[in-house]
Amino acid sequence: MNLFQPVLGSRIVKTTTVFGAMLLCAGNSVASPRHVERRFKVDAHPIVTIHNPNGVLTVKAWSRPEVKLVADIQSDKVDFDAEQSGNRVEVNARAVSSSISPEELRADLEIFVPEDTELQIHNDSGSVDVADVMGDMAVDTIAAGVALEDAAGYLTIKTVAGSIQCVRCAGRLEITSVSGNVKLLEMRSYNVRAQTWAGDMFFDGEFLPNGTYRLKNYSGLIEVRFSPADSFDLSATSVRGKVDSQANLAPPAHSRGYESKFSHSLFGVLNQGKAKVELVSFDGTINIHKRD
Amino acid sequence: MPAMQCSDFQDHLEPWMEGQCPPEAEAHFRTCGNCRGLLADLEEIRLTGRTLGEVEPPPRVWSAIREQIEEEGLVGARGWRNWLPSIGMVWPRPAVAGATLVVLIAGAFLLGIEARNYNNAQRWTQGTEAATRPIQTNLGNFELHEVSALHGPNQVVNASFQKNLQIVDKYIAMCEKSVREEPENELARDYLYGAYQQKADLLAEMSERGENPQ
Repeated sequence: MNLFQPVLGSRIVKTTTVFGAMLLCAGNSVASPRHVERRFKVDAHPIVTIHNPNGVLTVKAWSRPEVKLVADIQSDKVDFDAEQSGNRVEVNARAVSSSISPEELRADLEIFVPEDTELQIHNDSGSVDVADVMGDMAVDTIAAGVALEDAAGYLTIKTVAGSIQCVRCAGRLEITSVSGNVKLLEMRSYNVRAQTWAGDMFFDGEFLPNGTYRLKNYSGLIEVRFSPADSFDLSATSVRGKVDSQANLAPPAHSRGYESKFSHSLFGVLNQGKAKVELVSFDGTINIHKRD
Repeated sequence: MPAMQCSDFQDHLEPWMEGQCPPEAEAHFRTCGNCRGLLADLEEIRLTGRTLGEVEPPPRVWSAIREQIEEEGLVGARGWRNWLPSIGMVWPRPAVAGATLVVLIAGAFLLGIEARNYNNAQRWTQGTEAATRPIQTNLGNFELHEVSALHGPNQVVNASFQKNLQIVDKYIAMCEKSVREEPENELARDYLYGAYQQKADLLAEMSERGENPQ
């Protein structure tokens, strides 16, 4: 879809800043920061898509039926536009020059959205912070760290090197990273699948009945905190590392997948075993420790 | 006439998947659990491929891997491997989900099938090495292509890609070592497959950024 193409019958608000033209008019090129503010009226369940190569992105929920965008763009080598098509708002920052420093590429964005907004975020480097948004969310970064707070819905986070932190996240969570650490705190999610190759993983949250929790890394620490009242069926396996558990587990009813002479494994059930917890590492240590 | 062996049956895979079932192959199929399992896996891969229509990588990802597969001579190779490239021909291109998926499916397929057919450590090793070598070569060549093309404006991103590619390569090497030392370690092979998958994902991401730098 061409974002710049007018669509008959739909409400379109577009702000496009093309600095090449401005430079031609000015006749003198001076890189200068810009401050942009835009507001877009939206209906229920709007979709907001953000593409930003570098910068701090903050998204917060508010009670108004509108999306507010505040952008600080560091240089005129970045083309920036925000437009609305129906109930979708697209925000795009893009380098217009190949010779650009990370600082010149930077655009810091603060965006306020209704609570039920669906977010699609691509922020290559910098950071991504999202708070109180309950809609589905897909966050894709390269080096940017991602921090979600009080989020819900179907949450998909993918980074290459960026660390990931979720606090009080509910719904379903899928995380993949190459070298980012993963920290999941006060979780209320019924389905967690998290994988990183070279990162530490920490989980401290509720194990909901019928919930599934799978953490996997290659190297690094996997640590899970539990309380004695929790109910889960545990499978913990590390090929080269140790598995250390403070849980008083009953033997499992059935044999498990990776039970083999080549791995250090621990299988067992705490209380009724209502949730399924699977922890897998190749070279890392796995700790299942009591919550303080 | 002697009964058909598994290796002979594998030569009939491609026509079989196209609906041609010679009587001797059918007789072998009825009595051989391994080959029935193999065909079930292939069918599942084909059906899964048909559901992946929305995953379309950049065209040059497809082209690069395709060229490498052809250069490797896998198209003309004998044995069941010669069926692999034809997966891409049978499936509509979008359904194949491009080169990345071809490599991944081939990896899973090769690892799984080879594992099923070998019964001792030495043969496990040989099987896994034979299975992963083409994937490794294709990924390596694709990597050369993508890394040399990596000149996006975001230096932080470029550096991150380079660094994480090295990380994944390190894990591939370590997984391969583990598989060599403990060929029957299923989890080690699972990690090896996962490492290849991660590398393919990373290269595809680099390719995407190269085509559409932000």
